[in-house]
Amino acid sequence: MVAGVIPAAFLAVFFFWPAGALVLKGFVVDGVPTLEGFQRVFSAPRTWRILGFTLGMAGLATVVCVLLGIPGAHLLYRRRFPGRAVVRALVVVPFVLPTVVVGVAFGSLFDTGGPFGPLGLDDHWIAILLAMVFFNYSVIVRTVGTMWRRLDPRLAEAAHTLGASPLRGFLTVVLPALGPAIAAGASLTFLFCASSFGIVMVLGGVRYSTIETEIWFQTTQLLDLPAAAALSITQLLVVTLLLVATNALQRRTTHARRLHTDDTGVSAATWRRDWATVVVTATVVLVLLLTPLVNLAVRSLRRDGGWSLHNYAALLTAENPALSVPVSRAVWNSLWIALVAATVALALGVLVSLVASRRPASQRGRRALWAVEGLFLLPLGVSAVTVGFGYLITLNRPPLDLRSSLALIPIAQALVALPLVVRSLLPSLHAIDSRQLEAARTLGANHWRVLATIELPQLAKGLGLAAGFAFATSLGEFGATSFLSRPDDPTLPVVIFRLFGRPGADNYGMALAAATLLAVLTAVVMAAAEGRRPKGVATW
Amino acid sequence: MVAGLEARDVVVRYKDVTAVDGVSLHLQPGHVLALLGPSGSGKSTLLRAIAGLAKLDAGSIHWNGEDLSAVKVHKRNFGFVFQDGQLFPNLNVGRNVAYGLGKWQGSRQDRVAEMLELVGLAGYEKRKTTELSGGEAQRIALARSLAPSPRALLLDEPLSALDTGLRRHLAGEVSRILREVGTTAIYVTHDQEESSMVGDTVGVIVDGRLLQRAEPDELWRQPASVAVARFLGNKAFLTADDARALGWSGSLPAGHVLGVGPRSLELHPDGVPVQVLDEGFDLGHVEIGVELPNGQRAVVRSEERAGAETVRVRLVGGAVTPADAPT
Repeated sequence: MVAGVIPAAFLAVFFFWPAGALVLKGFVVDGVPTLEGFQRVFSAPRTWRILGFTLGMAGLATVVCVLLGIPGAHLLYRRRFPGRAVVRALVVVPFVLPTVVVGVAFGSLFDTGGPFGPLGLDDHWIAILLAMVFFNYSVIVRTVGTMWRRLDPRLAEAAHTLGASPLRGFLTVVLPALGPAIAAGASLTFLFCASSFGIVMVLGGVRYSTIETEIWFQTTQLLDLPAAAALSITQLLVVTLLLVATNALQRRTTHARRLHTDDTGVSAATWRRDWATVVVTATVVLVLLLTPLVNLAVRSLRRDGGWSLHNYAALLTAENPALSVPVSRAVWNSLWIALVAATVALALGVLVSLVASRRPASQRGRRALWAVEGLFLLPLGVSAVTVGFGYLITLNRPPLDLRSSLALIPIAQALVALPLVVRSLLPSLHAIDSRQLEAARTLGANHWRVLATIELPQLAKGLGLAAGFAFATSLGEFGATSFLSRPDDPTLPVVIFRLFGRPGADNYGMALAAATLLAVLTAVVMAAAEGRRPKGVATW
Repeated sequence: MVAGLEARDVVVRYKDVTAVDGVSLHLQPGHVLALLGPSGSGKSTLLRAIAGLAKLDAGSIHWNGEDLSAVKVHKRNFGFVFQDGQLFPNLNVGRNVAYGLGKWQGSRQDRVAEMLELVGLAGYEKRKTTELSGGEAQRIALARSLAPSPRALLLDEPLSALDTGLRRHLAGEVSRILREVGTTAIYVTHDQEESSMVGDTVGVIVDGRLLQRAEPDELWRQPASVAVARFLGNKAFLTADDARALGWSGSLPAGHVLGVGPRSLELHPDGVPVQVLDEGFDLGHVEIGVELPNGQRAVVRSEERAGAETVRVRLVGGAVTPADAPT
């Protein structure tokens, strides 16, 4: 009971209140109900262009991800070869990087000084597209691959014995069987692409905006809050619909998975058989995934045509005119904020998971529980930008004036990280055979003892992963933070964004150095967390 | 007061399906009841209802006359052994066995050792549960359930996940252990041999109803109904005249038929010639399917193949079954 009340109260104050206020802001101006904000926003051709760009880019990036990801999934999950574990780990790296870092990495790839500068794609939508694909490639590889690995190979063999060519067998039998996984991965990719705020903020310049960057622009630059609210509500609707679809598809994937055997379809890779997937995947890994990261690291170490640590040294010491504080201060801010946010998210996540893992006997109880779980996962669908914007208009005045205290940032980040935490903890709890709990009860253990001896030890398995996720998410969080951080006390992602946008070799070099630093920090945290990933937990 | 374990008109429903349909039974302290039934017959559900793990839709469970409806699972002091052990993977063997022992019970180590000794796995305390074979895991599960000295032990197909040879051996072991401890027990199984090895009495459950409960030899000789007889492996049913024509020397009370099981017929040179329908192998012998004179199919056990289109058989036994008893 208590386990449910605390997170519910937190969510009520820090999610539903701001979200409610935001919706009200869209429909009520000066106490009068009106659709004026919507009318103004949706009569502007700019809005429709932005909406089209957001959905079009997300759609295009998703298609590219699926086309590149399916060969990758086959090679990395259906075949065995030396070094496979390394490649699998490599593929996931981009996904855990902060979006600002991804933006900076691709920006420095295509601008005039970059290796692909001559292509003339600086500030071009193709750069944004590639960054989105870079970021989400692993989503498809993982969701499709983990299902493909378990797909019974006899299914395709049966098709072949019936005279189907390998291609026909793939198209008529394998692909349909993978359908739910592909659909689930694709809808997640679409969701992430449609809300890749940091990437578009860094790479979009003045030419390209998505709904999220437009919300930010309307709020912070034009101070048109009703318009921003109208856009936020639109975003909320689109994303919620997508999330519902994703959840439904994922449930189908888990159902379908029961049909399959374990690992029997995995065989050694041979060049003759697998050259096509090898070529595609090697190109993706080397050109799309590795080049931007290596380029970022290399260019952060270059200065005036030579190798130098100057950019890093500048982070620590220089009083940069573009910033009111040294970057070291921002690093410090990022670290303690992430620590607080991770602690809050973890504490709430444990409570939520315990509530959500109850197994009520009655139909009504199950339905209620399903609703509760959905409620706590809702913030995942509501973009961080909406959270930041909501806080900005609610929690900066009595009865709760938290804006000046910096406390809002960790709270917002905890909220953003909460669904990830719950998703990494819940599978461990669900993995407990219900008869284990029954066995404990028949042996005379009461609820608390069952909790302490069976559920908490199991929960602890997912704790490392959850903590890592929460900490890394907070470290790189940009969407909400960009609304809430004060100019004189920013976090690292905010500083990177500001430095990258300013002219001057000094600022540019420091942005690259800071981005590299943040990338390394995040990667180290995530690698440590991944090492603690319990079997069978996939988190997104 | 009624001593021991009692179930009164127990009904358990899942949505539209009535899994347990008005079962009443009573076990004197120390009695071992084997519940035999096909899968889906409701026998496991009945067991879970007695343990308090499944909710009763009607009826009640009593111990020494006390109604247990309001008593929670962990206060009932009924041990439960699951089909697949359900040992706690985060605890070693010793701590699994000690789980049900209260903290205040001083001699925990001694009790654990005693229990492990009882199930023939002395010295296993420090082992991990993952290092155990299936048979060992079930023995540990049994030891864990017995350690707190439950007033009754409920075993839900504890051996059905094991292979045949081991199952037979362990059924004997379980039977010995239950007698040694002297506990009241219900042992659910779908294996006829197991049920007669373990149970003082055997109850047959079909479609959620307890059709008959009797001592093993009586159950097989005199099933209470055609349904029970069929479940126990009697494929053909003969009238007294038909039976006598096949050389049977026994007598059949009026209104009864004789159930013909695999051991009822034997090959005999002076027997009645019958048509061979099919042949199959089973554990070291041949089962010859034959067509009896009245057209029903029955099975004869033989050391070797029939080798002809007809064989001569003689009826030497059978299950005396009421012809049209309500099922």
